[in-house]
Amino acid sequence: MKNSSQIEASFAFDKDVFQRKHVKHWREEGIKAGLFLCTSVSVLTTFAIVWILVREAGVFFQDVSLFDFLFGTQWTPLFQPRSFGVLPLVCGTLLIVIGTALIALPVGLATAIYLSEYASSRVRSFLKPILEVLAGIPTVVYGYFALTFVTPLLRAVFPQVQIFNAVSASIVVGIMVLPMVASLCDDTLRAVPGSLRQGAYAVGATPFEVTLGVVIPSSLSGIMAAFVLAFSRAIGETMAVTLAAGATPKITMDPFVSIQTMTAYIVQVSLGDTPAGGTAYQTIFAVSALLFIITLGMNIASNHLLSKFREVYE
Amino acid sequence: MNVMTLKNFLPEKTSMDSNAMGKRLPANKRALENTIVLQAKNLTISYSETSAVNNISMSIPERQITAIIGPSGCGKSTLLRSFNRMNDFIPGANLNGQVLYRGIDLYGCNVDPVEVRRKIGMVFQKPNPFPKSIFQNVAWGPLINGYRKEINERVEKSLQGAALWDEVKDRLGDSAMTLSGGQQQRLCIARALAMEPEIILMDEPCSALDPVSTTRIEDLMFELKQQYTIVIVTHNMQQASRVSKFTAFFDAGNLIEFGETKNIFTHPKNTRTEDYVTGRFG
Amino acid sequence: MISEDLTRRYWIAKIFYWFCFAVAWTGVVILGILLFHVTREGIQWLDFQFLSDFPSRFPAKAGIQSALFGTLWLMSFTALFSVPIGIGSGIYLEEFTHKNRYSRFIDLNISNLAGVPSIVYGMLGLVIFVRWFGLNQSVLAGSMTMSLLILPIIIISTREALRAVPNTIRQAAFALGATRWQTIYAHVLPAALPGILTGIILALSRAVGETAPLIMIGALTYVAFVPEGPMDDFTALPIQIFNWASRPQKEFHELAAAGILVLLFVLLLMNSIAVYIRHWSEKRNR
Repeated sequence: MKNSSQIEASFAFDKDVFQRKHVKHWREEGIKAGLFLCTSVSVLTTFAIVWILVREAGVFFQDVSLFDFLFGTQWTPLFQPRSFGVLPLVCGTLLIVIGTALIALPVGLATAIYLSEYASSRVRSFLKPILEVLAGIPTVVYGYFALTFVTPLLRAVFPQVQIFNAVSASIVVGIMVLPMVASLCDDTLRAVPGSLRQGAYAVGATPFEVTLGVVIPSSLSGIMAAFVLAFSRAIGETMAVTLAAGATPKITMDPFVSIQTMTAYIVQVSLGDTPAGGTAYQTIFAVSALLFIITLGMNIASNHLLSKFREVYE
Repeated sequence: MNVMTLKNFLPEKTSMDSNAMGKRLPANKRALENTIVLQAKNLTISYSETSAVNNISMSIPERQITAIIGPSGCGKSTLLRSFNRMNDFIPGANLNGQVLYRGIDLYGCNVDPVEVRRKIGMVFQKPNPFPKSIFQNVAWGPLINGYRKEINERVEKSLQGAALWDEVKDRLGDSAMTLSGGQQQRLCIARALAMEPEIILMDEPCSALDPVSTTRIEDLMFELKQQYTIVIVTHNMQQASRVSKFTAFFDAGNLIEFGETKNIFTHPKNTRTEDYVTGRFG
Repeated sequence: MISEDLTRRYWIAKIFYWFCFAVAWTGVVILGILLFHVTREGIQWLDFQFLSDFPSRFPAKAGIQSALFGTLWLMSFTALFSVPIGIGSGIYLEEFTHKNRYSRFIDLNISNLAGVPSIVYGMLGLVIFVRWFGLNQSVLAGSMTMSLLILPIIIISTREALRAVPNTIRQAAFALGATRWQTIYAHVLPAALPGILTGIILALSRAVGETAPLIMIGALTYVAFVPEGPMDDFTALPIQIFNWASRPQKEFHELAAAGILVLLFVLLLMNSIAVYIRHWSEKRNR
């Protein structure tokens, strides 16, 4: 607080009138440093993940060769005879991803088309929150739903469906991922300028032709980004598949039988009492590393596609 | 002594014979040196390779209204912003040359831009009051700079100085967003006045306002110039000829002509100037 | 001939419209079915006794108190860690850096972290917080793991909220001789606060429902007590639900449904707060 003579003095002209005021300056720099420190947490997180995966998986790969791991077809790490080929888990995950894609992609895209091309804003303001609710429901709830509703329903129609099967899990993961696909595609489609559509309507095209012929091709990279992101989420999905898809790793394309995904395997080991440090236990890090690499690759691809889309329209 | 009397806050200017340092000048320099408060010397400003202001030199006299006119995109706003170091916020902005405030280089190494902006205030093209109450809008500047005593009086004086007091004195707690466009701009002027700057920079202050508000603000400028130096950028030539004493005509980053307004508009020395003021282009 | 072709094209357009319409509303139908199923299965078990009992081998005696309190403890500590760091990071990245290599690297970093499966975070928590830091299966370990999980969400939504504040406000503040932090603290943050708070609630909602990371750090599935300190063992709602749903008996499945109802109620509460905040902030800006 300054009194009158101090105020007068500071305005009486002096050479240092624009001098940096030290206290103010250092406080500002201190705050800035503190905020910078906050950003380092996320950088450290990434490094920590990578380092831990490399280190722990490295322990595993001292005992098992990378080739056997990546290309072996038998996954029995927890009991004799031990075998560490990860393909059954990958196959299980793949089955789920395919099933999810078959549901979430067409439904998500069609929903997005409806929202962006046909729906009034009143409908939008009702439908979009519903989709957000669907997206916000925890995955364990979806797992429960798969186990107690979808599977019995399927078994009533197809008796050969086992209690644990890939298709129920795929269906609910599809429902789970659908809002994300719809929302992303919706944003993408709405980013296409109205002038493009108007040009098409002006030559006498129907809404269907405008959508299929003009809007979708223009937003292709954005739509693909949404699809890739959906795959990524399906791959990383854990609880629904743990509850509903089973714990029997096998290489199969039959969606009606019990399988095991990479994520479900990790949960199984964590819940069990495999002794830590042994090769059997270290498998979870090897599988995690594989999981991480796959999803990282897909996320980078998705980001790349999105930025290609934005380049054109923003 | 009433501390809050605005006059007491003007720099010591007892005689026309002292320069910025308070030293007595030799006679031949007295009258000239003292009327210059802001000066650009060989100033070039560029934004990542493209030059916006080319090697201009001009002087802003004290307690007058100086207008900077010219067609769109000729660098007027860039020049204005360089006077209070607002260009610092634009990445890629590069400045060569000097901007002198009473002989002090504003871009010198020991100069804190934050302090510069306390002395040289700015009013923007589109009124931008804070989404807070009217009182808080005016009081915030002084408060963060440490002037807590008698803040109410300071706010009142600033609002009076901006010809807004009578309209808002009963509702200082209302949100500033409830004011009309013209009132908001006057609030922004009051906000700038609250810092008791010596110079007020105005970047097309009336271009977003209706004619009635524009007239009120032009009248306000006449009152303000008795105590403050005003530099106004405008693309409205009639406004420049109405309010300013001196005018600088810019084109494509170059200072084409500078002089007394009545001369610029009645018999300009440069043909380009003449073309502009007679409306042949721009 | 042209009119024949036109009729066909109109029919195709109509069918397409109805297809999209049906598909879009399928989502609503599915949500309805899901809620109906869960309610039908679980409502019978939902009573005060359920909320106050601890889990037990006997379905009739089982309750959700430990899980409910565990979730509350977990959420409190997660908010404690993630909110300041998330908002701080968001402010720094949005207000204090220009587009340079470091900031682009961080951007990439954060968007990748947002896409990492939650089970990998669980693994991170296991190695670092449980083993290295020696925190075992405590609330602290769980909440620190969860904080890392939701940190990217908070950072991203904070940045979006800050970006939405018009730049003219900042310019006005700078022109008055304010430093960056003074501007942010007095004007930008208050204006962005509703968006930031909404983002935080969204992030915490996500954390409430996450199970996999907690399983990996070893949060126990059979906990018959309420945590009393951050170093205590704990369980959480989603884990309890998972535990009950994994059992073969039908009664436990119904208990799981009841647990889901409690979980959904908690989420509903959180999202209502978010909606309320949004309305309140819009009213304030009138």
